[in-house]
Amino acid sequence: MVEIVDSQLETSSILSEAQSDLSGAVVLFLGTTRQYTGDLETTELEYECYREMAMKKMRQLREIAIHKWKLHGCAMVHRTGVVPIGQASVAIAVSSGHRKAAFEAAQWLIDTLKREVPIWKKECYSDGTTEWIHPQ
Amino acid sequence: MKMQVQLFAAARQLVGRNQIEISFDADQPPTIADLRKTIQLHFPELKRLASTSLFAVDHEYASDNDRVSENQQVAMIPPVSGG
Repeated sequence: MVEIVDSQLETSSILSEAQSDLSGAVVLFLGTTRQYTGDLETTELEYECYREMAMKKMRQLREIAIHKWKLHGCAMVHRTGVVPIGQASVAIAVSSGHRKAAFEAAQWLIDTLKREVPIWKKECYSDGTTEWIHPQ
Repeated sequence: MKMQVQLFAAARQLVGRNQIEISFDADQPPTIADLRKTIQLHFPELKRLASTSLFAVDHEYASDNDRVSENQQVAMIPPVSGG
Protein backbone atom coordinates (compact mmCIF):
# COMPACT_ATOMS: atom_id res chain seq x y z
CA MET A 1 0.00 0.00 0.00
CA VAL A 2 1.33 3.38 -1.10
CA GLU A 3 -0.87 6.46 -0.82
CA ILE A 4 -0.81 10.24 -0.75
CA VAL A 5 -3.86 11.64 1.03
CA ASP A 6 -5.08 15.08 2.07
CA SER A 7 -6.82 14.08 5.29
CA GLN A 8 -5.82 12.75 8.72
CA LEU A 9 -3.83 9.50 8.57
CA GLU A 10 -5.73 6.44 9.79
CA THR A 11 -2.95 4.62 11.57
CA SER A 12 -4.98 1.54 12.53
CA SER A 13 -5.84 0.76 8.92
CA ILE A 14 -2.25 1.45 7.84
CA LEU A 15 -1.05 -0.97 10.54
CA SER A 16 -3.48 -3.69 9.56
CA GLU A 17 -2.42 -3.27 5.94
CA ALA A 18 1.16 -4.11 6.96
CA GLN A 19 0.39 -6.89 9.44
CA SER A 20 0.65 -10.57 8.59
CA ASP A 21 0.12 -13.80 10.49
CA LEU A 22 3.60 -14.82 9.37
CA SER A 23 5.18 -11.86 11.18
CA GLY A 24 6.77 -11.68 14.59
CA ALA A 25 7.34 -7.93 14.45
CA VAL A 26 5.50 -4.87 13.23
CA VAL A 27 7.07 -1.40 13.27
CA LEU A 28 5.00 1.75 12.76
CA PHE A 29 6.83 5.05 12.23
CA LEU A 30 4.89 8.33 12.36
CA GLY A 31 6.39 11.68 11.45
CA THR A 32 4.45 14.40 13.27
CA THR A 33 4.28 18.19 13.24
CA ARG A 34 6.61 19.49 15.95
CA GLN A 35 5.70 22.73 17.72
CA TYR A 36 9.21 24.04 18.42
CA THR A 37 12.41 23.93 16.36
CA GLY A 38 14.95 25.71 18.54
CA ASP A 39 13.42 29.12 19.32
CA LEU A 40 10.98 29.05 16.42
CA GLU A 41 7.38 28.15 17.10
CA THR A 42 5.56 26.35 14.32
CA THR A 43 1.79 26.71 14.12
CA GLU A 44 1.28 24.23 11.28
CA LEU A 45 3.03 22.62 8.35
CA GLU A 46 1.78 22.60 4.79
CA TYR A 47 2.92 19.89 2.40
CA GLU A 48 2.99 19.87 -1.38
CA CYS A 49 3.99 17.01 -3.68
CA TYR A 50 4.71 16.17 -7.29
CA ARG A 51 2.09 13.48 -7.15
CA GLU A 52 2.89 11.18 -10.08
CA MET A 53 6.59 11.11 -9.30
CA ALA A 54 6.16 10.89 -5.52
CA MET A 55 3.86 7.86 -5.93
CA LYS A 56 6.33 6.25 -8.33
CA LYS A 57 9.29 6.86 -6.00
CA MET A 58 7.43 5.58 -2.93
CA ARG A 59 6.41 2.41 -4.82
CA GLN A 60 10.04 1.87 -5.85
CA LEU A 61 11.27 2.28 -2.27
CA ARG A 62 8.61 -0.13 -1.01
CA GLU A 63 9.65 -2.79 -3.53
CA ILE A 64 13.33 -2.40 -2.62
CA ALA A 65 12.60 -2.68 1.11
CA ILE A 66 10.32 -5.71 0.73
CA HIS A 67 13.01 -7.49 -1.25
CA LYS A 68 15.99 -6.47 0.87
CA TRP A 69 14.49 -7.16 4.33
CA LYS A 70 12.08 -9.96 3.25
CA LEU A 71 9.14 -7.99 4.63
CA HIS A 72 5.73 -9.60 4.90
CA GLY A 73 3.93 -6.28 4.61
CA CYS A 74 4.80 -2.65 3.94
CA ALA A 75 2.53 0.41 3.90
CA MET A 76 3.65 3.99 3.19
CA VAL A 77 1.24 6.91 3.38
CA HIS A 78 2.07 10.61 3.15
CA ARG A 79 -0.34 13.43 3.88
CA THR A 80 -0.37 16.70 1.91
CA GLY A 81 -1.99 20.06 2.62
CA VAL A 82 -2.11 21.51 6.14
CA VAL A 83 -0.95 19.24 8.99
CA PRO A 84 -1.65 20.76 12.45
CA ILE A 85 0.68 20.41 15.46
CA GLY A 86 0.85 16.86 16.81
CA GLN A 87 -0.73 15.23 13.77
CA ALA A 88 1.11 12.84 11.48
CA SER A 89 2.30 13.82 8.02
CA VAL A 90 3.77 10.43 7.18
CA ALA A 91 3.20 6.84 8.28
CA ILE A 92 5.37 3.86 7.46
CA ALA A 93 4.40 0.39 8.70
CA VAL A 94 6.38 -2.77 8.03
CA SER A 95 6.20 -6.35 9.26
CA SER A 96 8.77 -9.12 9.23
CA GLY A 97 9.62 -12.41 10.90
CA HIS A 98 11.85 -10.78 13.52
CA ARG A 99 12.21 -7.24 14.89
CA LYS A 100 15.68 -6.37 13.54
CA ALA A 101 14.58 -6.42 9.91
CA ALA A 102 11.42 -4.44 10.67
CA PHE A 103 13.31 -1.70 12.55
CA GLU A 104 15.99 -1.46 9.87
CA ALA A 105 13.50 -1.37 7.00
CA ALA A 106 11.36 1.32 8.62
CA GLN A 107 14.44 3.46 9.33
CA TRP A 108 15.72 3.08 5.76
CA LEU A 109 12.29 3.84 4.28
CA ILE A 110 11.79 7.11 6.17
CA ASP A 111 15.41 8.22 5.68
CA THR A 112 15.26 7.54 1.94
CA LEU A 113 11.79 9.06 1.56
CA LYS A 114 13.08 12.27 3.15
CA ARG A 115 16.02 12.37 0.72
CA GLU A 116 14.41 11.30 -2.55
CA VAL A 117 10.63 11.60 -2.72
CA PRO A 118 9.46 14.91 -4.26
CA ILE A 119 7.42 16.26 -1.36
CA TRP A 120 8.02 19.63 0.30
CA LYS A 121 6.98 21.21 3.58
CA LYS A 122 6.23 24.83 4.31
CA GLU A 123 6.72 25.97 7.89
CA CYS A 124 4.08 28.39 9.16
CA TYR A 125 5.52 30.20 12.19
CA SER A 126 3.76 31.85 15.13
CA ASP A 127 4.87 35.32 13.97
CA GLY A 128 2.83 34.88 10.79
CA THR A 129 5.77 34.22 8.45
CA THR A 130 6.09 31.14 6.27
CA GLU A 131 9.08 29.37 4.76
CA TRP A 132 9.44 26.54 2.23
CA ILE A 133 12.03 24.10 3.51
CA HIS A 134 14.71 23.24 0.96
CA PRO A 135 17.62 21.61 2.82
CA GLN A 136 21.03 22.33 1.30
CA MET B 1 11.92 23.97 -29.48
CA LYS B 2 9.71 24.84 -26.55
CA MET B 3 9.53 23.01 -23.27
CA GLN B 4 7.20 23.23 -20.29
CA VAL B 5 8.84 22.90 -16.89
CA GLN B 6 6.72 22.20 -13.82
CA LEU B 7 7.55 24.12 -10.65
CA PHE B 8 6.95 23.26 -7.00
CA ALA B 9 7.23 24.73 -3.51
CA ALA B 10 9.48 27.84 -3.26
CA ALA B 11 10.14 27.79 -7.03
CA ARG B 12 6.40 27.91 -7.76
CA GLN B 13 5.95 30.68 -5.19
CA LEU B 14 8.87 32.78 -6.49
CA VAL B 15 7.55 32.73 -10.07
CA GLY B 16 3.86 32.79 -9.15
CA ARG B 17 3.05 29.96 -11.58
CA ASN B 18 3.23 26.19 -11.46
CA GLN B 19 4.70 25.90 -14.94
CA ILE B 20 7.08 27.92 -17.13
CA GLU B 21 7.88 27.70 -20.82
CA ILE B 22 11.51 27.61 -21.93
CA SER B 23 12.59 28.07 -25.57
CA PHE B 24 15.74 26.68 -27.16
CA ASP B 25 17.03 27.48 -30.63
CA ALA B 26 19.89 24.96 -30.75
CA ASP B 27 19.84 22.11 -33.28
CA GLN B 28 20.04 19.28 -30.82
CA PRO B 29 17.92 18.70 -27.72
CA PRO B 30 19.21 20.57 -24.66
CA THR B 31 20.87 18.87 -21.73
CA ILE B 32 19.67 19.30 -18.16
CA ALA B 33 22.66 21.62 -17.62
CA ASP B 34 21.50 23.75 -20.60
CA LEU B 35 17.99 23.80 -19.19
CA ARG B 36 19.19 24.94 -15.77
CA LYS B 37 21.26 27.76 -17.30
CA THR B 38 18.41 28.93 -19.50
CA ILE B 39 15.99 28.99 -16.57
CA GLN B 40 18.50 31.01 -14.55
CA LEU B 41 18.89 33.47 -17.43
CA HIS B 42 15.17 34.03 -18.06
CA PHE B 43 13.94 33.71 -14.48
CA PRO B 44 16.49 35.52 -12.27
CA GLU B 45 14.26 34.90 -9.27
CA LEU B 46 15.06 31.17 -9.67
CA LYS B 47 18.80 31.68 -10.06
CA ARG B 48 19.77 30.47 -6.61
CA LEU B 49 17.20 27.71 -6.20
CA ALA B 50 17.83 26.30 -9.70
CA SER B 51 21.50 25.81 -8.83
CA THR B 52 20.61 23.44 -5.96
CA SER B 53 17.63 21.77 -7.65
CA LEU B 54 17.47 18.47 -9.45
CA PHE B 55 15.43 17.97 -12.59
CA ALA B 56 13.05 15.12 -13.31
CA VAL B 57 12.30 13.80 -16.78
CA ASP B 58 9.26 11.57 -17.08
CA HIS B 59 9.16 11.17 -13.28
CA GLU B 60 12.79 10.05 -12.85
CA TYR B 61 15.73 12.16 -11.67
CA ALA B 62 17.95 13.16 -14.59
CA SER B 63 21.66 13.98 -14.55
CA ASP B 64 23.24 17.12 -15.99
CA ASN B 65 24.35 15.41 -19.23
CA ASP B 66 20.97 13.85 -20.02
CA ARG B 67 19.13 15.35 -22.99
CA VAL B 68 15.46 16.23 -22.94
CA SER B 69 13.08 16.30 -25.88
CA GLU B 70 9.89 18.22 -26.41
CA ASN B 71 7.44 15.44 -25.64
CA GLN B 72 8.89 14.57 -22.23
CA GLN B 73 7.55 15.73 -18.87
CA VAL B 74 10.10 17.98 -17.20
CA ALA B 75 10.00 19.25 -13.62
CA MET B 76 12.35 21.30 -11.49
CA ILE B 77 12.77 19.56 -8.11
CA PRO B 78 14.08 21.85 -5.36
CA PRO B 79 15.71 20.00 -2.43
CA VAL B 80 12.94 17.86 -0.96
CA SER B 81 11.62 18.06 2.62
CA GLY B 82 8.88 15.49 3.00
CA GLY B 83 8.39 13.29 6.02
